[in-house]
This record gives sequence, structure tokens and C-alpha cells, in this order.
Amino acid sequence: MYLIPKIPMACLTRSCSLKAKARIGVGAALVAAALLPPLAGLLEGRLVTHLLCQYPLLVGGGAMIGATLALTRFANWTAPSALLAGALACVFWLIPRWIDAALAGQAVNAAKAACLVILAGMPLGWGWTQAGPVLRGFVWVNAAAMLAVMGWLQLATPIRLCNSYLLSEQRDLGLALLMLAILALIAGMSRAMFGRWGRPIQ
Amino acid sequence: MRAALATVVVAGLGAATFWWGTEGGMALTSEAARRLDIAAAPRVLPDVPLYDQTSAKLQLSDYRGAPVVLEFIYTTCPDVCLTLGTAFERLDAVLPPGVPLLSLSFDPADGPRRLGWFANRHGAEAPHWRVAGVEDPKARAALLERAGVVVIPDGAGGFVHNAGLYLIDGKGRLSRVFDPEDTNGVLDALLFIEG
Repeated sequence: MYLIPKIPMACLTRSCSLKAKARIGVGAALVAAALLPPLAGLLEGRLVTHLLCQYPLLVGGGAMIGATLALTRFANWTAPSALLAGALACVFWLIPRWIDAALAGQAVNAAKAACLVILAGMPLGWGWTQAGPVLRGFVWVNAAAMLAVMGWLQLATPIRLCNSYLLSEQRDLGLALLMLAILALIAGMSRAMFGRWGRPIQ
Repeated sequence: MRAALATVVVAGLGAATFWWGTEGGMALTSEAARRLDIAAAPRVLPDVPLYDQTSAKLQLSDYRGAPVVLEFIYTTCPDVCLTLGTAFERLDAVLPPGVPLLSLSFDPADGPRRLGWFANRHGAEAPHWRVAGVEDPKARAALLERAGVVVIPDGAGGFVHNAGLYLIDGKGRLSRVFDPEDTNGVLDALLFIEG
């Protein structure tokens, strides 16, 4: 029924292509860049860069690794659960309490990084690669809608949600999230209208 | 089928994690988590050396034996500390003499003179309402840490802090935290303590 791979973790063996190794390397480099002391401190210093630069580097790095691994094995059925797991892991680290906790303690910050790479990024990359067009479209539209809701919440809340950041930074984050939501919507719509998601040619 | 099954399992695990991570949906912010934790398990505050608006020296432990209402301020604060000061004025008018008020500054630059400005502005008179600073930087940091007060620079020379009205019980334990304007909450809690 499914294509059972002969070598499940081919990328850890010699049969892995050079390109795949390079992609895993780039993913690891993104993760390292987000966590190395000079950049990490700068990124965590402001709310917008913390959530919209460091988080994407960690999740994106993990996703590159996950997507590369997914090429070695066809497992369509894992796509919805992997994408859900990745989304939930991202949302957990967007809870203000845990953002504060990550800034207050080294151990929690390490857990945050590990979680965003392994439980958010890798499943997202894996799941996206395994997913078909319907699931991808569903995830994309939901992500755009959630970005918009989160942006609106940040702008509408009159009190500080994080003890570690100023109210003005919360506003900046709200605006940035709304802009991202609009970009995601435009990207999704252009793909739907001009891309390859039309009715298949019989 | 297994796709749906795996998704349901992930959703269940996710829901459990969120339940754990937000105290059952009650604490989405660290401020809410702090208040829940303090109410559930009152924290003994470290005994720190203080000086007040009259330059008198005292210890935080001098207050043990009766409840105290505490707030953290800095004297040059333009906004939230004024709300706190006003809340203390209201409390000052209605609290019995046995329940003192203590405005503690976390700004090392607040000497007795600046504490005096703040006291005059709000009509604070020692010993019933002291406006005090903490002598030693280490003691100050330990006190803020224990109380869960996070102070960050506001980028314009001042500070931003998670403000609240704090109820210290007779054993020197921080037992409740209220919103800066919630004087009724403080009064109700005091009535409850005194039975």
C-alpha cells in the first residue's frame, strides 16, 4: 500500500545525497545562529525579534531537517498529526507565561529551543513534505487566520502580557503579525489562482 | 484511519500539555501564575534592612505580628505608581490603625529626600504609612526576586514593573496580590484574616 523504504534513515548513512546533507547542515546552522550568545541576546532583547526572528530561525532550521528526512520515507498518513504537533508546540511557546519563563531561566530557555527545533520545526517540515495539497491549503489558511487573530489580540490588549517586555513592543508585535497574516493570505491566494492547485488535467 | 488516530492522540497530548502549562487555563501570563502561586502557597519574604522618608532605619521583620499592605514603587514614576499611591491613600483612610502601609521603592536612587517627596504628595505619615527604600542592593534584589517583581527599564530613564497591592500576613508571608486599584479586594482579605 505504501512505499516501504529500504533504508529508513538514509540520510544518516552513505546513501544520503550531498544535497540532502547540505540541507541538514543549513538547518543546523540556522538553529545554531539563533542560539549563539551574541545573536541570541540581541534577538531576545525585543519582543518582535524574539518571536519573529529567533523562533522562525529555530522552527525553520528544524523544518529543513524534518523535510529532508521526509524525502527518505513515504508516510502520507503521518502528515496531519505531524503538522498538528508542530503547530501546538509553536503555540505553547507563544503563551506569555512561557515566554517570560524562558527569559527568566536558562533551563526553560534551553527547553524552549529544543522544543521549537524538535517538536515544532522537525514535525512541520516532515508533515508539510508528506502532506497533499488539501492538507497544505488547510494548514496555510489556518495559519494565516491565527496570525491575524494573534496580531489583533496584541493590539487590543491594554495591559502588558509579558512582564519582560514593554507595552509598546506588544503593539509592534501586533502590527508585525497582522502584516504577516496579510502576506500569508496573498501568497495563498496567488497560489490558488495562478499555481498548480487547479483542477487536474484529465 | 491511522492518520486520524495519530492526530487524535497528538491533540490529546497537546491539550494535556496546555492544561499543565496554564494551570488549567487559569494562568496564561506569568503575572496570573504568580498570583495563583502566592495565594496557594504564601511566600516568606527575606528580612531586609530599610530606611524610610524620615531617614529612620528599620528591618522588614519589624512588621511581623500584624498584617501589612505593601506596594513596590519608585518615586519618579509617572503613571502606575501614582495609581498605587492613590490606592494607598484610599486604604489609609479606611484601614484600622493596626494595619500599616508600606510603599517600598526598588530604585536605588531613591534616598530619604525623594521618599519624602512621594510621602508628601500622597499624605503618607510614618509610622502608619512608611515610604521606604532597601539599604543593600543584594537584599533588594533578593526581595524583588522572592516577591516575583520584575523591573525593566522603560527606555526613557524610568522603569516598568508588574504592579500590585501586596498583602503580607502576620508571619511575614506574602499571601495575596491584588490589582493596583483593587482596594476592596485588600479590605475583604483583611477582614477574612482578622476573622
